[in-house]
Amino acid sequence: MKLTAYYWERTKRYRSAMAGLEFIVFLIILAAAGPFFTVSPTHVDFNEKNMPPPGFMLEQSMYNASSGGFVTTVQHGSWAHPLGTDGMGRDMLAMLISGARVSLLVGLLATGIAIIIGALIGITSAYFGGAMDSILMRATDIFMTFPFLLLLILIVYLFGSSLTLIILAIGLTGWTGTARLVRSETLSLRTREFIIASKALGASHLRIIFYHLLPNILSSIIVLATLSIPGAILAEAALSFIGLGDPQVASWGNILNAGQGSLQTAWWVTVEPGMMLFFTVLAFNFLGEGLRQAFEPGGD
Amino acid sequence: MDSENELGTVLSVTGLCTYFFTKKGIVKAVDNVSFDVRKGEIMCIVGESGSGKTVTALSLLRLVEHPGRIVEGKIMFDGKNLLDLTLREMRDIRGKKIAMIFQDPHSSLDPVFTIGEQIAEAMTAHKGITKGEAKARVYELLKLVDIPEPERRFHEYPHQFSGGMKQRVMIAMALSCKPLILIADEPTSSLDVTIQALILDMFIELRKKFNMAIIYITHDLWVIRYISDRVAVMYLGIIVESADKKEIFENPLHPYTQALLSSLPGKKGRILLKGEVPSPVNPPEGCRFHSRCPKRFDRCEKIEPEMKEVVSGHFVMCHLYS
Amino acid sequence: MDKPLYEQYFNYISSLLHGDWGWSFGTSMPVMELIKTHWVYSFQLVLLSSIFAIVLGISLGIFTAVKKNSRADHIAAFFSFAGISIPHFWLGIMLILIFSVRLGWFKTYYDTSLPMLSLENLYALTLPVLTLGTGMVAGYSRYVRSAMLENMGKDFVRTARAKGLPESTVIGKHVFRNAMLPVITIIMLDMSGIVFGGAYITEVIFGIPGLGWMSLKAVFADDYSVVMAVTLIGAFLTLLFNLLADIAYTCLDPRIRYE
Ligand SMILES: Nc1ncnc2c1ncn2[C@@H]1O[C@H](COP(=O)(O)OP(=O)(O)OP(=O)(O)O)[C@@H](O)[C@H]1O
Ligand SMILES: [Mg+2]
Repeated sequence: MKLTAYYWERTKRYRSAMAGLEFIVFLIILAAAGPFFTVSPTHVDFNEKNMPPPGFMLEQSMYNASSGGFVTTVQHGSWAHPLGTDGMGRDMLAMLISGARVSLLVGLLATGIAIIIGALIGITSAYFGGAMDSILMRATDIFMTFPFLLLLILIVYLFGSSLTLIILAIGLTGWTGTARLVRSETLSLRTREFIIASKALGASHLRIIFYHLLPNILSSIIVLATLSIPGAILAEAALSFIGLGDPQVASWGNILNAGQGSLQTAWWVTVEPGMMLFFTVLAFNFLGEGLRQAFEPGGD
Repeated sequence: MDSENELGTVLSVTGLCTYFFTKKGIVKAVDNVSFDVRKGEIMCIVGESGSGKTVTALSLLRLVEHPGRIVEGKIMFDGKNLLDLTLREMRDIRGKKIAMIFQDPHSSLDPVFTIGEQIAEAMTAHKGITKGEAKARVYELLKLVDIPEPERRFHEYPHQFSGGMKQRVMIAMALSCKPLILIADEPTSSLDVTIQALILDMFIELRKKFNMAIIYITHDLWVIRYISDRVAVMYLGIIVESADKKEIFENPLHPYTQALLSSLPGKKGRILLKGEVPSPVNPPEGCRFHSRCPKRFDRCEKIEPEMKEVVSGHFVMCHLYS
Repeated sequence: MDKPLYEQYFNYISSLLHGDWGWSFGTSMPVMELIKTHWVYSFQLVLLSSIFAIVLGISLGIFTAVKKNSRADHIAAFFSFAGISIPHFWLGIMLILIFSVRLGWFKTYYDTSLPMLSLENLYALTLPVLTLGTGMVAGYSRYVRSAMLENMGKDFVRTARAKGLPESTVIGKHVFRNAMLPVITIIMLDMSGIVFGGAYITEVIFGIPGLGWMSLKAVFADDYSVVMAVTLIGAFLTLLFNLLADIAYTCLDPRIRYE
């Protein structure tokens, strides 16, 4: 735990990393607590469509039920919808919070899956060596450069687009970096004295892996995971943005997709979720970069 | 004698200080160093690892890199103080008037250019000659440093050369503009002994042929004995003693020099120094050597000794002789 | 269709190799014809974006490496961080919102009637190139900067300075040539991801009828053979660029060439 405190002290020195961390914590709180104080993100009300945020106004034609025709009205923003509404009158704030939940879920779960698969492949490769190692690593190299989005699109096309499947697919395609990292760290650690010593003492492979290997490469894995989360979040957002996301959930990508059609009128529908996405990615990147520098040996 | 030396001096360094401004403090790698180099002589700088030999050499060409800086001193060459020159004027000195060969030939050559191109570079930069003329000159130079088949070797890359061959390439490169001074920073320390001797012979021969002075940096005493005319002994950023080779070997004055020479085979009464070399961040007060000196007395701990000419041409910095 | 799966697969591959890529039911055309008419739109987009990104990214990388830790370096670092983090599809929409919708400088949709080799076409591709190129510039400039810095500390750079070469030659020739070895490899390896990631979505945003746009249309129209064909092209390009990266490295690094 002393070590954790030490690294924490070092990470704290990077202001951008701390800003990133603060934003992430804020986002997590928002995602967790948001639903208790906002309206339902799926509540549709065409009378309130394309409402701008307070302080802005918009002229648009609305259907008037009493006269039975369209009239041009001026929409003013109201504090009932602090971030406005979309083309179906849904509350933007509520949708953004729902989107935060989706993005965090995708980012964390998919990265988790990717790390586990990557670690397994990396350790296998390093431990068995030989032909197994060369085949696995060559495959990793090629897989690493395979256009990831194309694969996701294919998976969604073949098997449908539920959020669970998307998360799984992102996880199953994102392991290459971890595999490489874990392999090279394992190889360099394998020859260190304490591992040789514990082998001599008759420790089992699993014991060596869990008690000696993993704790030693944990810091590199944490950095890599932090820096991979944005990729996973962006993959889901991109997929949703082109209309292949899970239609059941309000994710930032889905909102962007829907808002693209009303650029002429309701700019906020595309500006807001994009900002959220941008800041979230930036926050994870800043945090990951800060951690990387903090963990770097001899960074003083 | 003295006046003759004055006339024959090509390079005169006075009070040179080069510090590294690191986070852990100021590393006084070279601290108030003065020496002269005479025309056509081989002057050796000797000292243990970390004593500041390389930094001294780099300072002469103003090649010290960040966080290092030359803070003080004068380097007189060709009637000018090199430290006053603009960078452009300094470029006309580097490689043309004063050339340098580095310690590690493996990393000192650019891996992606042919050696021919790398040797020709200094000539095309300084003399404005065409590539064709440069090529002919490179063939000559390669022959001069005993590299066979220069026409073929010209087009080869550094990794196709052995360590000794690479160092010959470096020498050819350094000689390409016929410099007045050649600085060689431990040019043979990474080579095996048989090749070392060949290269040393080459230096002696080339010195005559080109009539240039050589500043030869080393920590091998046998190399000094073999090649030098004059020797300067460095310890922790300063020169503690300098004299002609014969004088140094027969009559070493400074206790550090005595200890150094006592390690030569065939010498009796080897003097072992205790302790480690102190850090150049906080060099000891008074005489820098006092913490390890077998002959120290009170004064050594407080007052820094001055350089004194004890015998003509034999300088020493030690309270024993003041 | 009642043959065993491996036989179907084998037949499919062998017909691919014979140039028979199947029939697109969505467009009532052979898939091959479809690809022939669409690939060039992807190609021009990727080509222009790459030129833009390589020129700008390399210049920025060199500049920030030479001016390491200066104010300009810090500002550039900030922007490249932002450039890497900004979702390019959102950037594309924002560019449309500002420059097409608000300022009216560009059409909101790519005009396919323009002749390909014309200034008008180049102008029409400005926003798409910016959309795809921004992230590339940010990434390349970071690669180049770190590769340049790594090589600036090498001994042969000191040798070059000791020869009296001007700083422009030291940096522009010796450091640069060595720094380019890994950079070119990375650029090559990134390429298939750019064609079928960044460019795919950029085409969709701007309605550029390239392979990505065509593939997405096929996904929605459930046009199986087109979706498969595009995926296969992706796999093929990945292998191709891996091979090209190997070849490039071999050609540029004399240490490998002679082994
Ligand atoms: N870039 C640098 N940053 C900080 N200190 C440095 C740097 N370069 C050299 N020094 C310090 O300057 C002092 C002198 O180093 P120098 O390389 O001149 O020693 P040397 O006599 O050439 O040793 P060697 O025989 O090992 O080559 C050393 O204490 C070294 O730590
Ligand atoms: Mg040295």
